[in-house]
Amino acid sequence: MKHIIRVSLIAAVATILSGCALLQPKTNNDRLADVSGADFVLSTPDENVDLSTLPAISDGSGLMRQIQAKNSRLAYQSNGNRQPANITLTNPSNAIVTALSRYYVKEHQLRFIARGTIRNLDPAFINRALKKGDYVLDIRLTSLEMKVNADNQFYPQASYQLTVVDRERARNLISDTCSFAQPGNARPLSYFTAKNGANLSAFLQRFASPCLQYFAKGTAFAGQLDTTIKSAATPSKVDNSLTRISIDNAVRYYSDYQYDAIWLNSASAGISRVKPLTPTLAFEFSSAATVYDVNQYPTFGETSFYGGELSAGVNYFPQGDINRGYYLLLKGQTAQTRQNAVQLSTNALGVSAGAFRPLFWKLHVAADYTFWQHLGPTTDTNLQGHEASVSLRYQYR
Amino acid sequence: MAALCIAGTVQATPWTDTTGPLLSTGIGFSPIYIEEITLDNSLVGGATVLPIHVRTRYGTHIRPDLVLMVTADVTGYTDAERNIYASTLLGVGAEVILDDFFNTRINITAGYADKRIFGAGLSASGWGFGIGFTQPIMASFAFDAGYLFRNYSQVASTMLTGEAEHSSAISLGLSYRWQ
Repeated sequence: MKHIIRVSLIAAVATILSGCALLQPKTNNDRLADVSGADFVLSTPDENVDLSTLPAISDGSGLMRQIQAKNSRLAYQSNGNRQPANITLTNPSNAIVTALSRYYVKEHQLRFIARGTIRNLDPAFINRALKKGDYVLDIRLTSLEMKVNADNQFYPQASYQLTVVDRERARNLISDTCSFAQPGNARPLSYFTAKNGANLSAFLQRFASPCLQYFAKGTAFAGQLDTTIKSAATPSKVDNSLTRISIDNAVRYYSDYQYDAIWLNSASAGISRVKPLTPTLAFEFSSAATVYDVNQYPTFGETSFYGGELSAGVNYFPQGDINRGYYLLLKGQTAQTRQNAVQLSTNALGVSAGAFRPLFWKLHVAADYTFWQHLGPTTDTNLQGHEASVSLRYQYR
Repeated sequence: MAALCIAGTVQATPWTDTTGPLLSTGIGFSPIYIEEITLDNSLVGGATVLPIHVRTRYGTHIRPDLVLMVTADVTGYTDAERNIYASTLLGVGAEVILDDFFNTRINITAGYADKRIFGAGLSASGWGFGIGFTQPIMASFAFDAGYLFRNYSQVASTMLTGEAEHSSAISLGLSYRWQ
């Protein structure tokens, strides 16, 4: 019996401890570790890494490896949600090449992370990035195209793209592209499609190392399409902001309203702009129009009155997923209360805290609580209110 | 007009331009516009109308992401007796350009407020402030939205008397950038 109790006790303690461990929030490093290791390779611990010394993309023993499809979404989310470019084909009727090209663009999203210098990019810019301490060098295949020459022979043309991603601010800072082809080695289409595209793969592997050299040193190579060596890539900011359109239903309560408490029912429509600042934090700015009614659901009739609202605040995505998280907003509102015989000051400031979750497609549901403080020269109408609301949101980039 | 003279040659300029001077004119309306007159800390009365709203701003980019400017916001409407009401805010302000956030411009302004009723010969003055945003939509056009508060130390009303008057407004409009 004692033995059973002891085992049960140990099991309970273990359960509690493991539960506590599960409840601990993931750090950025934890999240990054989810997409590292066999599929996704972290940098060396060295502060300075010379890209030109990195081995070629080959058998996976080097610093760069492929990302498996199951981890690609998380990798995107941890690196500014960058999406791969579309592929183009000069011969779209050839289904097998289309399929192969898509396969290679999808599967060869080669990437690595390093803290270090990139000689081909603006040193001042890199120094600024280094001071921020957390950025990613992202290399991936962004285009693959089958060209046809005058003799109806095919040759592939492809591009690797290097992007520097500022992980702290969750945006792409700078990018450079390395495009290459070998028109002199044109072959029948079957040459590239045979053996599940092994020769197409070999072509991509062959140019991986020269492109690294190009990114690292600006070194031109045979087969490179753009022979002009870029001494510094043009900085290109990528806007990863979100837009949300929402409809909202709320009820507001004022306990110290004159003789009896008062309830206001409202419906509103709004638009929000959200700018990710880090993988887990974003700035939100929004505006909304609202219709209120004292006694019933807004009828847009004589008993209804109207208001407008501006808000600013932050969003927090604990898992780095922009589709679920929490928000804290400061709100300013103007409404036609006094003109509708409602003894509340026209202007009010509010603090709102809420959570949102995905529903389906691009629709989310959100719920929040807002504390309102009315402000104005008629101090007896500067009351405090409590509001609960539920929103349906459509979110897109 | 004075702004046009200061600016010299004016021409259509995209809102994405973040250098040099900025001159823009906007027109729209105030879906929420509320005037309130108070006496002894109590509301005497007021009005809620649907006025037109005109905004001019003139300034310069002191940095690619910051504009210092002077602004003139005029809100106008008429009453049944054909008196013309004009509430003005002449202010100085700043505009912050969020270049990696849809190129949205967030602006704040504060300054001298004036209300006049042409036809009735009434006026009041005071102070005011505004906060809003400007969203470039295409070429030289941008969408404006904002909140304006004007507080007058006198009352300009053809019907009511009181100690003080203030107005709260939410305005929407379309701005054209000349320079």
